[in-house]
Amino acid sequence: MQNNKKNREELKVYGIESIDSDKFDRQKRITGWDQSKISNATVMIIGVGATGNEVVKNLVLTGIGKLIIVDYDFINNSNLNRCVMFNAKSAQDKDYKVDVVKKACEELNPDVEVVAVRKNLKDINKTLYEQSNVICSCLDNVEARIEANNYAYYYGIPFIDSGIEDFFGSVQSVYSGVEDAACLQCSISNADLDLMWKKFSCTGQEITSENGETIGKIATIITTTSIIGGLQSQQVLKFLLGIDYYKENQEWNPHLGTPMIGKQLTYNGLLNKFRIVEKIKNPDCWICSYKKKK
Amino acid sequence: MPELPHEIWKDRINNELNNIKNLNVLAENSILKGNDSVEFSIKINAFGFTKIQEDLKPKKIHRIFLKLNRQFPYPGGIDFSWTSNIFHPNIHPVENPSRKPGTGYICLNVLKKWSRLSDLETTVKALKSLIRHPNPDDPLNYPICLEAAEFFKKKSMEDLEKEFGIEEKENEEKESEEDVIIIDD
Repeated sequence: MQNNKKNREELKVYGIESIDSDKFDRQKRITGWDQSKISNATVMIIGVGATGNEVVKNLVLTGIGKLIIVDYDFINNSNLNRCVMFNAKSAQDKDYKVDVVKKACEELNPDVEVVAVRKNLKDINKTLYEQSNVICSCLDNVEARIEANNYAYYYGIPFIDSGIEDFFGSVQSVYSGVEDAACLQCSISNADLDLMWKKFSCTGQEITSENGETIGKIATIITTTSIIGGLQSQQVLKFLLGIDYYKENQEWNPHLGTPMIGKQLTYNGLLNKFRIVEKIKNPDCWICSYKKKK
Repeated sequence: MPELPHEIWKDRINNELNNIKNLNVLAENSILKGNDSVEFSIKINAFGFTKIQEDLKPKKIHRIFLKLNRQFPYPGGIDFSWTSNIFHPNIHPVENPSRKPGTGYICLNVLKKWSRLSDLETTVKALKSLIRHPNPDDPLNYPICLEAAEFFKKKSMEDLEKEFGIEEKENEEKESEEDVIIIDD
């Protein structure tokens, strides 16, 4: 009897170790999950502000191998209401966002390799796009989004864009591996181009919205950014885990689902509603009507 | 401002140049292709005027130097300079007509408000239309342009054409009417 009890205890202890000693045990229980695909992956995140913080946090804790983070901005006090990795001291010292995020990542998961690129997106080395397995944009302006879209589409790298404004948000994926799916440039409007031009030519002074506020500063709260950042990082994982299966079989692994390619998911926090809008491919698109890199 | 990947940019520029070849405006042997820019001159055939030493003369051939930079086709991707003389309220030619992109000023909305349907062909047509339809209500702030504005306020292009006895061919007239681009800057 005593012997038996001892045996059971031993078994119990052994069991707990096997279940709880592996950092990634719980996520490995998902059907179709392959942790090595995550830990060998490189993800580029453009813009590490509010949404960027959420995406970086999610990916680092999931055990991503390498992150390339691009941002040229420094931290302000006004960032502190929605960025989990920034603190009052970093705002006071006007630290650069990439440096602070890199440090925070190493604390969260020492295994992750973080490459901090403190540059404007325009000036980065274009080979960084090719090195990435997935590209995420967590940006606040159309120009940089389009730039990222253009290069991601050209190099055939899955690209996930997100946008937020007070209680609303959206996520859209672009992947040139799916031929008939739209890219971001497909739906660019004349108003977008107009705004780009105004920003470019008038140093931003002329850009004011109807109520006289500067368009550059929009209302944001952390609840929306974490919802959208969560959705975006989910898309990243779906791409990382499922893309090999897709390339082999021309369809997505049913256990991991289909990423929203050429579709935009919009979130309306006031009506508590998610909607998926299929984007129409523009046959004369400046990007996807041209050949991509072989 | 975003840019196209280099290979797509090159393809796009080649397409655009092929399209305007059909318009017969490209000056011969003027295309200079660089790695990050393409330069060329165009000759536009349209009824306009020049003023040399108080002497107003009709002028039919106009030369413009264009430079497409890496930003093309996004807004700001084209630099213009008007290299031939012109008496026009919205155009100020370069003083020294050597290759100096961006030094001759043209007041034309299509150049600023670049739409997603715009291309080199529409731009060339718009320039042609601008010569034929000056907008004296919004002149450039140069003495010669202000003078031209006063002049074109008093006399319309149609009257001047009759006065100077130049008859345009019927089909040309039709084409230019189609190409009218309203200038509301």
